[in-house]
Amino acid sequence: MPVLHIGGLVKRYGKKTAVDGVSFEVRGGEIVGLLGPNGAGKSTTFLCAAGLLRPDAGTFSWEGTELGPSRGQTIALIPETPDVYPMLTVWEHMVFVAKSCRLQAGWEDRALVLLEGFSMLDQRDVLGTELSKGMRQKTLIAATVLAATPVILFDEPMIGLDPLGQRELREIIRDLRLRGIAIVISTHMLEQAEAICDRVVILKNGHNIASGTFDELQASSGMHANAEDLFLELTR
Amino acid sequence: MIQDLSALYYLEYRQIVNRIRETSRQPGRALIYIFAIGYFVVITVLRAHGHRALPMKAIPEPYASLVIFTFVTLLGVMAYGAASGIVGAFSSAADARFLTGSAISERVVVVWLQVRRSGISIARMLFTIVLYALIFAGSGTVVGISFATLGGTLVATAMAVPMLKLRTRVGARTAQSLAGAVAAIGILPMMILLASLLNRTHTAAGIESLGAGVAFNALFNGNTLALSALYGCGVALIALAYATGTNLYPDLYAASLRVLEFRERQKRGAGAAFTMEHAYEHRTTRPAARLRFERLNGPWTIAWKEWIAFTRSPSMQRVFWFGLAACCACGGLFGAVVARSHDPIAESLSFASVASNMIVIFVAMGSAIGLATDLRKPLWWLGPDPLWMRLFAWTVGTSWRLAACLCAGVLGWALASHSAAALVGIPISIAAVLHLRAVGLALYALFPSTIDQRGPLAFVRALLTYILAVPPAIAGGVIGYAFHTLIGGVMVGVSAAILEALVLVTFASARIDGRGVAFAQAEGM
Repeated sequence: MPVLHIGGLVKRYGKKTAVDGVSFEVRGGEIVGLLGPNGAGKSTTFLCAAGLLRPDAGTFSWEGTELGPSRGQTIALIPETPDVYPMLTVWEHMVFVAKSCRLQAGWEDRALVLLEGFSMLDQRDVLGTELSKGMRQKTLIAATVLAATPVILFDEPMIGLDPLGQRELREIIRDLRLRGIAIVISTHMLEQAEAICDRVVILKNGHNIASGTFDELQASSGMHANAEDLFLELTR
Repeated sequence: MIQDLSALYYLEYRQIVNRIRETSRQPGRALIYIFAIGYFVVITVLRAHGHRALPMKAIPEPYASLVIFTFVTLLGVMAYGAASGIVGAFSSAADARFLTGSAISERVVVVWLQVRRSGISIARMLFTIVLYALIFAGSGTVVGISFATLGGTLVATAMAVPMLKLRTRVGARTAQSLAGAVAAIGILPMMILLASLLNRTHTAAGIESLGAGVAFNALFNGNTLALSALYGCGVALIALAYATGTNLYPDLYAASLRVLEFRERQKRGAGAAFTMEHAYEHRTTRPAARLRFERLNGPWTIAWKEWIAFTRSPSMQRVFWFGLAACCACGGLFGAVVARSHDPIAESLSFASVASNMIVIFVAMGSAIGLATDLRKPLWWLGPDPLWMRLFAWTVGTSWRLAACLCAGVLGWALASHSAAALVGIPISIAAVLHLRAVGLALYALFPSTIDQRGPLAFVRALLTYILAVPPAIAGGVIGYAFHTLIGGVMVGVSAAILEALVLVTFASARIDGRGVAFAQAEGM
């Protein structure tokens, strides 16, 4: 099974070290939750991994091959505010991805199936500026899946979504796992993380302080508390 | 490469087509574009072939050389901005996400971003070139002025990527030093040439003999060789961007975010410059009780808020003090030149005319009105005062810095020319700045889109300012002439201008009231 390995990631902003030696792995078809209080370094880790922020140290590899500066082709970031091109329709986003990622003929059928699966077929000619947050998120996910990007990072994906939107997104993420995509989710919604993630990595002040399944974390901490209490205890 | 370019072409083409389609669905917006383009075409044709074509004459020295060295200084300042990590590359977070995640070569993306940025700047300039052509009427051809301005814009924007790369390779300090050296190459001759307006020196004559002024006149007259050289520089810089455009995505992304933030602040009337980065790093949070003007209340709370923003932003303060000193020095210099002239009144009117034209054009071009950040905040709507009063306070609160700079220029002029009469320029400057801002606000109330404001609306704003300046000018002129009183005429003219500004603000208020969120949303369209 292919593995994304992030090793010894360090990122400093001036004198402040936002991420200090964070390392973790994610296998294809696995969902890992990246948890931590505000300022723990989650978003910085994601930006570095997606190639949008230059780390001071650290390595990124996929299937044993080190990823260079253009690792954005392998690791896609779906940010908290899922921006799309305001003046492109949903379908035009798909066309651009197909052209820019040099997809083989027949991608149109795959794109249509994807949009149908995401209940977006009737929105295909809607401009980005008119899409809701949920729809923009789905557009980005569809574009990422169409481009066959093997790793997706979700930064606070549930924020701003109504309960139905959250349920739909959970289903989509589970579906992505079945497709063999390696997924990392940063979230403050601990119940959501417990429900959807196979493992979690907990950051605090830029350090990796714990990782494993919720059961493993409970066992190692000696607590039989719920996810929220466990998280608060670990990050206290 | 062809596939890469095809994908990028598709991206831009579809966005332009969709934007045109959206714009054409709003007849008012479409009309503005048609008007601006139509006016540009008509003026160009008339000046090129019609009976209004004016005889060409060369811009004399030292002014011609001054323009070139001012341009070099500007290049240095822009290079300093790029060396400080402030480059507009990605148009949005989506742009960064889609382009960095694509299989398109990074070099091609980097060059594309560069060319697109130049293209956007050039497209924005198109609407104002006609106004340049009017200002420099008789000192060049429309084709020459147009191509020279566009070529200058290309060169100015195309050096961003090489400078950013230099920053990543050798560090910000070294890159900034190099940019500072470029600026110094422009500033030193500029200062010597300005000083030569008072006393001719051999050094100034030596600088003039370098041929910068000849090159400037050749460019404005459409000389093929001069224009080819200018565009050759632009193409060379783009080639350099291609050669150096690797491993730059993180820097371009960070730089783009800074520029997007800067534009947002600029729309709110917050002056900022290449030192914006430092403004964030060294921001102070002094308690409000220690600030001046805390007694401003009611609608003037808005002006107080703008004052707080000013006191807490070192970059705004630096720009303000620099502007104040520069205006005072320029005013003093030209005042001294006028004092030695054989016809001081004609010289004064000539300088004042060029200066006011420049101010109208640059303010219209460079200060898109943006209220979205305020209109979205419930706090903005909490005050019981009528919206027009709050908008007027906002107009004052965001205008005083420019007004103060212009007043410093007038004061410098009056002192150097030993002319108390020149002091009438102070109330005129204050009224003019308020008027300009109010015209912008009224147009914002009709067309809130920032894209329109940076495009044809800047051109319309400048034209409307000229048109609306006529009634106060006539009122002041009539009173001044009838009663043989300069001060009386100025007071009437200024009062009429402020009254007009109030009417414009009231108009804007009537349009915005109750539709704040809609305006905030329309601003980004």
